[in-house]
Amino acid sequence: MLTSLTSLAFRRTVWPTLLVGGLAVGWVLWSGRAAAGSELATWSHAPGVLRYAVWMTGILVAGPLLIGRAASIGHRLVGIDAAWCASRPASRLFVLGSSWAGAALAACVWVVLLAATAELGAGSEESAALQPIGSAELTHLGTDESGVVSWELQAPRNEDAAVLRLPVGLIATGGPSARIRARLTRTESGEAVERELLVATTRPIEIGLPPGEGPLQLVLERLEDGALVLVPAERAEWWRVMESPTSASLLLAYLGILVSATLLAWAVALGVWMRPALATALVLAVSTALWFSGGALGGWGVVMEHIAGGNVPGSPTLLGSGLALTGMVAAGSLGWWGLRWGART
Amino acid sequence: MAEVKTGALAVRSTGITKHYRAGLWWRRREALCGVDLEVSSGETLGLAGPNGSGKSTWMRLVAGVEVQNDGELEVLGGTTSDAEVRRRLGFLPEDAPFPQELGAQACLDLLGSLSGMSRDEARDRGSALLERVGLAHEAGTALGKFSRGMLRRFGLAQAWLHSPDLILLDEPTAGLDAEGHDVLRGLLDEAREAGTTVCLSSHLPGDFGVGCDRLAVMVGGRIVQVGAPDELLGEPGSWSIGVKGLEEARLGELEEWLLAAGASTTGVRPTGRDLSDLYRTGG
Repeated sequence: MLTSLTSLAFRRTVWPTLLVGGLAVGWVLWSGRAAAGSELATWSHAPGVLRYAVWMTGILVAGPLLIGRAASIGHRLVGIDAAWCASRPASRLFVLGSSWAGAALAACVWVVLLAATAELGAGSEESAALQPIGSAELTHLGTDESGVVSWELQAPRNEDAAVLRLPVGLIATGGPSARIRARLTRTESGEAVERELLVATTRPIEIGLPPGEGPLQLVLERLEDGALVLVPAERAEWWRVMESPTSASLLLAYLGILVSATLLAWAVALGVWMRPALATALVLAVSTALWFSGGALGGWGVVMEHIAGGNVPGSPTLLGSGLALTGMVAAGSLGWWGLRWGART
Repeated sequence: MAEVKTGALAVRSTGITKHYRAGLWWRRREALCGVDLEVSSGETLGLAGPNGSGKSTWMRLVAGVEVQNDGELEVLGGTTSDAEVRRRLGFLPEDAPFPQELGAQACLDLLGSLSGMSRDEARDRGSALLERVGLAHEAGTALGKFSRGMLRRFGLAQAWLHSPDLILLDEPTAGLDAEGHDVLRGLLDEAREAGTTVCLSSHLPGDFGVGCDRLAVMVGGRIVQVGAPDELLGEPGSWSIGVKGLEEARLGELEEWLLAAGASTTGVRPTGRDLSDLYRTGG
């Protein structure tokens, strides 16, 4: 690794990111504090919401900036910097890798600062934070005439599972909300947990796992006239209670570094082949798709929703890390090819 | 074609072509149209030609910055895809595109590391070269604050940094002041003594008075003439004579003598001091 080149790329990337991103995050923190005395202050003190605001601002402001700078670094390697770089004996792969490392290091610094700021700003949690640990397949057992719906589901594989989260939809026909009773019962032992819920949004409903072992039965019962509650998916999720919600930012930081290192590798590689603006636009388009889609490296929108709810995102998977590494290697090969054979010719 | 002075060839360029595509319609523009040129080891070759004739493109190909579309290019017995060949190359690019945010010494450290030099080696050699080109007092100044001439001097320092066997200087005199010209002349003299091959390009004929062994003239992406500078730049029957120790009042007598000999003078002006002397003495 050519540390001097890494240092140059770091220098070219980190300052604009810290300056612009820092100003944006600073403004979010300041506006949260400024509103602390007013009636509108509740949002900034709700568990996880300030953490969410800091992360969202940090990602949305600094993300495109980092990608743009990385694309510009790649473009310079075949353009203006080629004159002093390409005539030197240093391997082009090392030149590319060292430059990418500088940009990735800048992203790491930013993400770590963001995590620290988010945790310092988030304050103490008022309710337990949850983390998804697996899914549960729902087998529909039937719907009776009084509107009671029941499903069967297998016991969670993870011993830490404590809460079942069921995604719901809402159609405001007979009113804006619906009052329902949810009951989760162990089929064999008959032990059950029951909750009465007012469903007024499409936020998933939660019900605790009853003690015991074996398969479970979930029953939803409408208690009075109101909106129609839909269960659109055939899967629900098992969540566990996190002892330390601070790990939310640690997990986000890990995911952020993994995803940003991959995206920056592509930005540098595409920058070798095309104008930085076009390379940036392409990478941002893929990032947007990853934000809204699921998958091992995607689902950032869902992750941020968890954060906003004061919860913790799911742990990173081996598949996700593997995909990120493969993406980095593929981007490195593309960039090296461009440098080796002259992408502009 | 003038005779090549020494044995081995430093550069053999055979039928080199290079084109670029640009614009909305990706239109093709020919930069080099079959360049045949040989540069022998230890030789100082001047590459002359008007703007856009392809001098810089040929230099960039020889330096390994770009790849030709067609033809064969042998540099120091290999090709520029070979790192060992690039290790023996020094290149001063036309527009001094060095990292503006780095100080002169820090940039030399970076370039030294890219050339495989150790940190200490790059630091020592870099300091000596900055001293040599008159930039020692600006070692910590960011290159972005350098004037064009200072950047040119810095460019010379970086080209000589790793003691290369072949040095390519693209428009080395552009923006150089009189003292800078002296520095360049000194470096070229040292290179000649050390047996280093030098190729330097310019579009100004006066720049080739720094001791080129041969001059190649490039027009429209082709080499149109190669020969000794005096052969190519001198007009038969025209001479420039330096005269010392003659009073200005007696210049007329000299002109009369020349007229009597059937010659005419094309211009008479005082010589002896150059601008660098004025700079040194403050006028």
